[in-house]
Amino acid sequence: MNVLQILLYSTIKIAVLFPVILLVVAYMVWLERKLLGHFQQRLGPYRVGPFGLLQPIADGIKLFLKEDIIPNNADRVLFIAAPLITICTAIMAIAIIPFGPPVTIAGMELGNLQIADLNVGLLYLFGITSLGVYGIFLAGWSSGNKYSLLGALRSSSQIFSYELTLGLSVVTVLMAAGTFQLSGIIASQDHGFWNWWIFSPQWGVIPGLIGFFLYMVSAFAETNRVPFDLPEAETELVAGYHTEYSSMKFAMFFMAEYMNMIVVASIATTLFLGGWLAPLPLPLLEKVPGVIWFSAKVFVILVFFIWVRATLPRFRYDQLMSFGWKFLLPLALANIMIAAIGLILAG
Amino acid sequence: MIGDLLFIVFAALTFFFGLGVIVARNPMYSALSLVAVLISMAGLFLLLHAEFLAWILVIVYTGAVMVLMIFVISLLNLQKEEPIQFTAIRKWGVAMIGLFGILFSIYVFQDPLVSYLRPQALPVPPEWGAVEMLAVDLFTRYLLPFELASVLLTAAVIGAVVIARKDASAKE
Repeated sequence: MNVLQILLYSTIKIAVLFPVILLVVAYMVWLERKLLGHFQQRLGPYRVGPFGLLQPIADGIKLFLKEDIIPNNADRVLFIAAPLITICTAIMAIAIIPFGPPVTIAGMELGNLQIADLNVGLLYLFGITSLGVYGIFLAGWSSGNKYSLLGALRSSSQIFSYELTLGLSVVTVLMAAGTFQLSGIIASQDHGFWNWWIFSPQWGVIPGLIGFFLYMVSAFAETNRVPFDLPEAETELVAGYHTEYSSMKFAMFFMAEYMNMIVVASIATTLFLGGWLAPLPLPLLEKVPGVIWFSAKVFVILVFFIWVRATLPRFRYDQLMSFGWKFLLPLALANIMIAAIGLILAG
Repeated sequence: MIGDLLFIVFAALTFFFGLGVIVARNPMYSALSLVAVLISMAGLFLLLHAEFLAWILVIVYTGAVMVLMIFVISLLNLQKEEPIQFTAIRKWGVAMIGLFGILFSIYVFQDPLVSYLRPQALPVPPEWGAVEMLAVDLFTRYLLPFELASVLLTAAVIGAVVIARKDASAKE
């Protein structure tokens, strides 16, 4: 493939995937409000359109028309840059998500339904998410407000602490799959759900299950979701790092949070749940397009995110830190050892 | 062609943000310029097909080291740095030393004895910089230095814990 072809194909994929992601983000918000409502014996949004389905669009218009306020105390440059950094890193992370197997449109072989299939895909993801911290931190710092700064400090130390566990939790999968490339990791889980890395056939079920548990817990922390939503604990910090933000700048933080949720759910699907592969090696199931399997798995994880939000209370800050450093991190290290021994014994 | 263009872009970014690190009055902007320098350097590494090194640079330096640095800056509540007033002699002295340094390095690069310092295009195997190759090298040819470095780091971590603990017991 020459450079022009790569550019053209990437542009086509971005043009198709990006609006879909934006739509999914908007309707994630709707789904979350609707499900939370029903979890709490309420109806959730129901006024705008049937089942409140037009609510995200109404919210979007509202946010767009609101006044954009920059506080006097704020550092103007960084105050504007922070939401941009946050949303850019969220969008950049989407570039490596493998949504589906190779596609051919109008005779053009576009490769996987994935914008960039890097051979260090997972490292790229960790690099990009580690840059996301800057958006949140600078938002809090540049607001010139104590609540914002406290929220930012909490958020970055939390993301920083749990990033270690997140990185170590996927090492077991990398050892077994032998590659950083996400499409390669999916290919290594072929022929039935018992080959998915969550069930880790080579070394008994344990390392895979522990790895998945560690990944999910740190993913909740990375995305600042309940029970790890201390950075925006409204009872103590108003709204944390985005207290001073309004209008589209606030919307950018909001969208970035949901995009990050989609990213971590997609990566969980890719690493542990077989990505776009069918759960059973039956011809009937394998005829279903890979995108549908992938979306279905991601959807289940996203609903789980919302379910947890409706169920669990928030951690206290010291609990969060000791849980991360004294329980999750040693467990992750021990898990790698178990997996390594298992891999050697299995040959 | 596109590689050359990207090299110029990343090199220019590295240079200008590097300048920003020392020129910026606000320490926060200095630190953020350093972050930008590291990211542009990762870009340069990518152009050399050293993907692993590039992303490790981003993860370790921008994702961890610089976050801690920015933490410290924000907690110290530093204000804008006042420019230091230099006397004329000092100003000219510094300028002369700088000029001498530049001339000296030009001279050194011209000298045939140190020609190996000059940048030159080396033939690179296609899989160079890939994770597998790096891992094989690290765990075979460079095993001893690698293990020594990890022992050193462990010692540093334990040292940090000990120092932090002493402080806590002294307060009690």
